[in-house]
Amino acid sequence: MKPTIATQRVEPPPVSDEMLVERTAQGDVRAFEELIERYQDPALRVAFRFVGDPQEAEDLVQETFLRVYRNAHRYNYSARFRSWFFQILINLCRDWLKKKKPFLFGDPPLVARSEPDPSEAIDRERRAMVIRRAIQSLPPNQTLALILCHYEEMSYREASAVLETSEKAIESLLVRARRTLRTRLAELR
Amino acid sequence: MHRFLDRELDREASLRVEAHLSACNSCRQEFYQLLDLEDQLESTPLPRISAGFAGRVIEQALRTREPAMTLPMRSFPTAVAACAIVIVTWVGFHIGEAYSTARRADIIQSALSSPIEPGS
Repeated sequence: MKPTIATQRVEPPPVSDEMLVERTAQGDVRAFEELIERYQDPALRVAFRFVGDPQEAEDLVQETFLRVYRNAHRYNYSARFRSWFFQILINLCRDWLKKKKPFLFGDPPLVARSEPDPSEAIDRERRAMVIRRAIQSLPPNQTLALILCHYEEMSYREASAVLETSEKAIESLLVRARRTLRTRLAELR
Repeated sequence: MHRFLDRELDREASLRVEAHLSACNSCRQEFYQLLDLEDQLESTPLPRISAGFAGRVIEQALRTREPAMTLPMRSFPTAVAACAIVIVTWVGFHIGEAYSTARRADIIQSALSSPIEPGS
């Protein structure tokens, strides 16, 4: 009897972000597109939580990708792409904050209007708005530390690389942010 | 406690915090409040990236600059300057060399042709 060879399909290992940025630097548009697909959602989450406006957030994300494309040849391969990417985004968010006039919370509704119970949906929207305002009214570095560590689940080490500070400083920013938020959000409980 | 909450502690340290939380009522209350806050923060809906986003970014990126061309194009003036320096140095060195060889030949020639003074 002929021995059978296991024909289990082996998935090729995923191409690393660092490899993709290297290919992007060589002009590979498909590699750039793959980077966009991987990072567009987390980038939008971070930007939106910081600026509070979906359109402004998307503009910042778009500018981040354009900078990645233009500066791909300058990328330092000893650093993680993810950290480099979020550093660019965070710097753009900070610049946005400096140029921005005091923000008027328009808060367009993000919850679908076709909810079975409209009052419940409205209540949820209201709560979400209060939380977003509370986060955005923190000092910028506290907001950013919270967004990166809490929402994006970055380690203190990675967040410290993105925010160009120490791990101890990240911990301190988080402690202060949570303390303030607990007070400000007490009414929602 | 924040490091524990953020899963920044190793296993041993986490076990120590857990043991403390089970024994200390005030720290346990504090920890529960932090957990409540974490739950609250989760309840914010998020926008979605708009349709065709990647295409728009790529189109704009290609309109601005080709990254593959960037490095060689940028280094071109530097490369030209470097080549010019090398050529000038090389030519200068060889002219100098030729001149000093000719000069040496002249000196030897004049030394050989001059009469030797007796007693010198």
